[in-house]
Amino acid sequence: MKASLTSARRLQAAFVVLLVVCVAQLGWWLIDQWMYSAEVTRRAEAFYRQSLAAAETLYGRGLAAEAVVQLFPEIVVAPGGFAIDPVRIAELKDERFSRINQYAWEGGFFLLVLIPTIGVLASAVRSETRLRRRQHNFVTAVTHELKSPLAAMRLAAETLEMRDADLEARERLIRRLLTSLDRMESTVSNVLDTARIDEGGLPLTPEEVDVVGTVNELVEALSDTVQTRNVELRTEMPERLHLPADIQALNAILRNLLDNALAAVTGIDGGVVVVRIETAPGEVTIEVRDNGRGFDPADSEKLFEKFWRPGNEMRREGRGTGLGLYIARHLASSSGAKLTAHSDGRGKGATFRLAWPTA
Amino acid sequence: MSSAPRILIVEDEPELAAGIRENLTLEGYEADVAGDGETGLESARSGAYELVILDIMLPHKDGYAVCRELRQEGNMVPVLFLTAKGEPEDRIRGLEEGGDDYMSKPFHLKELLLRVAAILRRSRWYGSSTIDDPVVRFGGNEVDFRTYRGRSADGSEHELTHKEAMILRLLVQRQGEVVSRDDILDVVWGYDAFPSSRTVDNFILRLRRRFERDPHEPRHFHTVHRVGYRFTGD
Repeated sequence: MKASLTSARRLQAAFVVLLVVCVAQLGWWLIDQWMYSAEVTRRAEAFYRQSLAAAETLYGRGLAAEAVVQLFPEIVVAPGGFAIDPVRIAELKDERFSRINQYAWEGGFFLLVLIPTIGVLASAVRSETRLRRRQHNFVTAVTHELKSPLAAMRLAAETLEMRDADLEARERLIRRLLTSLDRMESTVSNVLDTARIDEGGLPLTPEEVDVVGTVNELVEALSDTVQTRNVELRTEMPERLHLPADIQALNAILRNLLDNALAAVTGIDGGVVVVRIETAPGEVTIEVRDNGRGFDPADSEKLFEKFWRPGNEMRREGRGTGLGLYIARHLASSSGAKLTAHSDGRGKGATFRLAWPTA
Repeated sequence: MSSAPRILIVEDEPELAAGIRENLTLEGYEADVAGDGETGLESARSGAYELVILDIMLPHKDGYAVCRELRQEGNMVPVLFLTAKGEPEDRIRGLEEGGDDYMSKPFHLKELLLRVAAILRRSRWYGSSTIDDPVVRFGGNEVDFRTYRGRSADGSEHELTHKEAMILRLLVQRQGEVVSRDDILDVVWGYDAFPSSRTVDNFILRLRRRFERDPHEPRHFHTVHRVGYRFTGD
C-alpha cells in the first residue's frame, strides 16, 4: 500500500518536473529567437550601412545617382544624398516580429495542449490513489468486521465450555454469541451484495410488500443486539402499509439503515433509534433517526460513497465496512426511491430518510 | 500489591469487552472497560492498573498512540495488545511502541488468561525486587530501577527501556552466576513474543554501550559462549 502511494506521488512529481521543463524550454526558445533575430537584423543593418558608404563613395567619384541606386537596390536617393530604403528596414523588423510571433503562438498552443493533458493525468493518478487508499481501508475494515465478532463468538463459546455458568449467564453468553453472528452475517451479505452490484446490479422484482411487517421482523431480529448494547430501538408506524417494492432490496436497505443507526449509538449513554413511517400522497417516507455519533453535514453525500468510513484505518470512529450505505443508496435509486442523510454535526445524531414512491 | 490486580480493558467492541471483563473477574482480577482510546489513556494514566489490555483500532485515538504516550510520560504499566491486526509488522510495531505482549483476534481464552498471568508475574517480580534494592552501582555507573534512569561512569545520563531495566535487574539479582538466554527470555518476555534469542544479545549490546567503558572489552556484562551472560559488579 505504502509502495503504491509513493509511486503515485513520484508520478505526480514527474508530471510537475515535465511541465516545468517544458515551460523552461519554451521560454528559452523564445529568448533564443529574440536574440538571434536581433542579431540577424543588426547584421543586415550593418551590411546596408556599408552599402550606403560605398554608394556615397561611388557618387563622390562621379558615378550618376541613378547608376548608384541601380548598383545598390537597398539604397534610395534622399534629399542631400543617399539613405537606406525605409521599406527594407521595415521589412527586416516585420520579419523579425513574425518569426517571434510564430514561435510564441506555437509554444502557446503546445502549452495549451500540454497543461490540461498533464492535469487530466495527474487527477487520474490522484483519484486512483484515493480509491486504492479506500480499498486498503476497506480490506482492513472487513478484516476487523469479521475478526471482531469472530473473537467475541469464540470468547463466548469458550467461556461456556470452560465455566460452570448458571442459567442467566448462559443466556447472556448465547445472546452475545447471536449478536456477533448477526453482525458477521450482515458483513458477509454486504460484501456479496456489493460484488453483485459491481457485476451489473441486483435484479429487482417489485411486488406488494408489507413494509410494517418487514420493519417488525428486522427489529425482532435485532433484539439481541439491542439488549447486549443497552440501547433502545423504537418504531412509530401505521398498523398496516403495503408498498410496491422488491422485498430483498427493501429488506437490505432497512437492515443497513438500522445497522448503521445501532452502530452510531453503541457506547453512548441513552442511545435511541427510532423508525418512523409516514404516508403522503404519492410517497411513503421511512425515517431512521438516532441520537448517536452523527456526522459532519459536509459529508452527507460522501457517506453513500463506496468504502467511505469516518476516521482512518487506525482510528475507527465507527463500525462497518463502508458498504452498507452505498448498497442502500444503490438499491433505493434502482427502486426509484430517494435516500438522503441529515445530521447537525458530530455527536448530534443523524436522520436517514427514505422516500419511496407509491405510484 | 497484594490485593487483586486491577486490569484495564481498552476495547470498543462491547460484546468482546464484556466477555473479557467477565472472565478476568472470574479469575479473581478486578477489571474495568474503556470504550475508546482517549478514555483508555486517561484511565491508564491514573496509575490504578497493573495491566492494560489494549486494542489498536479504536475511536478517537489508536492503541499505538495510547501506548506511545504512556511510555513518553514515563508510565511503564505493562501493555498487552489485543487486536484484529495480526500481520508480523503490526506485531513488531506494537512491541516497538512499548507493548509487552501482542495477541491477535480471534484468540483462545485460556491463552489470554495465561499471558495475562505471565505479564503480571513478570511485572510483580520486577516491582518486588526493586523495593529492596532500588538502586544498583557498578564500575562508576548508577541505575535507579524505579525511575529507569541511569548515569554511566563518564557522567552521561541514560533512560532505560522497560526491557533493558528488567534484563539488568535479572543479571544483577543473579550476580556472578551464568544466566542463560532462555532464562532471560522467560523472565523478561515470557512466551513467544519474540522468536529468537538474538533479541537478548541485542539488548545486552545496548546495555554494554551504555555502561561499559569499552563495549568490546566488557568488564560487567560477560558473554558465556553458547550459554548466556554473567554480570559482575565492581
